[in-house]
Amino acid sequence: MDDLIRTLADLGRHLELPADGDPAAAAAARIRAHRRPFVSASETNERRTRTRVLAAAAVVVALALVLAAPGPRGAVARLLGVDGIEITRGEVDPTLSRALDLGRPIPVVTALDDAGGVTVPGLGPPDGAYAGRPRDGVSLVWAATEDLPAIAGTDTGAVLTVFPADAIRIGKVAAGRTGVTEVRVGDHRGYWIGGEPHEVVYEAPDGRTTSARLAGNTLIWSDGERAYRLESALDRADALAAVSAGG
Amino acid sequence: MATPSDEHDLVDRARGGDVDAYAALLAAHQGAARRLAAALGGSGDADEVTQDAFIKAWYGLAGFREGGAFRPWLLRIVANEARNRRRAAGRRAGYELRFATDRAAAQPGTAPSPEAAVLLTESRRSVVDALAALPEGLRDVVACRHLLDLDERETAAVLSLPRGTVKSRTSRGLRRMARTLEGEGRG
Repeated sequence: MDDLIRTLADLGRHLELPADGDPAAAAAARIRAHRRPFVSASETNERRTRTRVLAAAAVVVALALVLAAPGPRGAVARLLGVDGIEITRGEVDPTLSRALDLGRPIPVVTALDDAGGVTVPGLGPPDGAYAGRPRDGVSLVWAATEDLPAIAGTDTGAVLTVFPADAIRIGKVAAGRTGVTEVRVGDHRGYWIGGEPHEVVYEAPDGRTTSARLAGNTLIWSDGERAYRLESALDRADALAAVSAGG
Repeated sequence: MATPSDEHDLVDRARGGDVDAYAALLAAHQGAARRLAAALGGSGDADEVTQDAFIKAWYGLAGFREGGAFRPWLLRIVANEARNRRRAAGRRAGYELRFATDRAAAQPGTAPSPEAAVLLTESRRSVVDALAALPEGLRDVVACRHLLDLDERETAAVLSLPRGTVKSRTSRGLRRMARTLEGEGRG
């Protein structure tokens, strides 16, 4: 056994790496070119101001389209939401899947680029990324850990989905027992949707539903340019703290 | 080499958005990071894995515990990236480690004959193959402990495992490797 350990140590001393590799310099160059250190919700105010008027106009049109389109949700008691996401009160189909439907896997660094550097600082670096659900959206995924319990029905601890806020891309149907509370996420208005699972639907440009599933506790907000949706098993205080950490 | 207080200062500055400070931190630890990426994910993608992990770590700096040790935190991100990349590649990509075999085969202070050098190289290749054949949970621990010479505590931190698990997996991994090598006629 000692012989084996000595051989491994000897091999380790001669592990071959590319002679001219300098990933530290390459990473720093990429960060300088494209990135900010981390962007918490409170840091996106400037972008929101720049695009608020345009986005608001687009949302008015989009909401009109959604309301005019036939949908599966039955009676709509009231309408809430932020740019890019609408919340309605209605009947939730309890037979829907809890499985996450996030699209195709992509490299995390690509997703971070597409998300404009927005992440959830309190959760650390994401473990995976997906694209395509909703359309033009990317999702950063954190695996469940001892400190980050799994979302019911999944082995995932948290999902941050980021997508353009120029039209409604996600609809949410909250039943009577699902709590919907207005919150502040940094400088932005958002909603906490907690308690009983709610129904998530991805919507096509014509307002039609492209898929649906049940979701757990979710924080949504928008900076006017992008909409954000953080789903996890965290409670409201912990979710808000995770989003705002370092901001 | 940066002192701990220098490093804390660099971390604070990096958390404030100072890319130069972050680059200095990376430069101090990239040797260990590249070797870890190679040991866990194979030599081929080591620098790409390391670079992506460094970028992800930048985005995760706000989650770094103030006053904590930066190196194990960074290496844990590198390890996760290497393992995620390896799993994503699945069966399409094997686990391949490359070594400077000519130097590894040479014994200090001696010049082995060509035949002896070949035998030494083959012997080392058998050890690498036995390591590659381990289940990844055992292989990662053996690689960290004995290929990279990380101690139990740092291995546990890097691989997010309890120290007891590191200890037991190290023993099991080495025993399995020894059995594999015995089956090939190497004691």
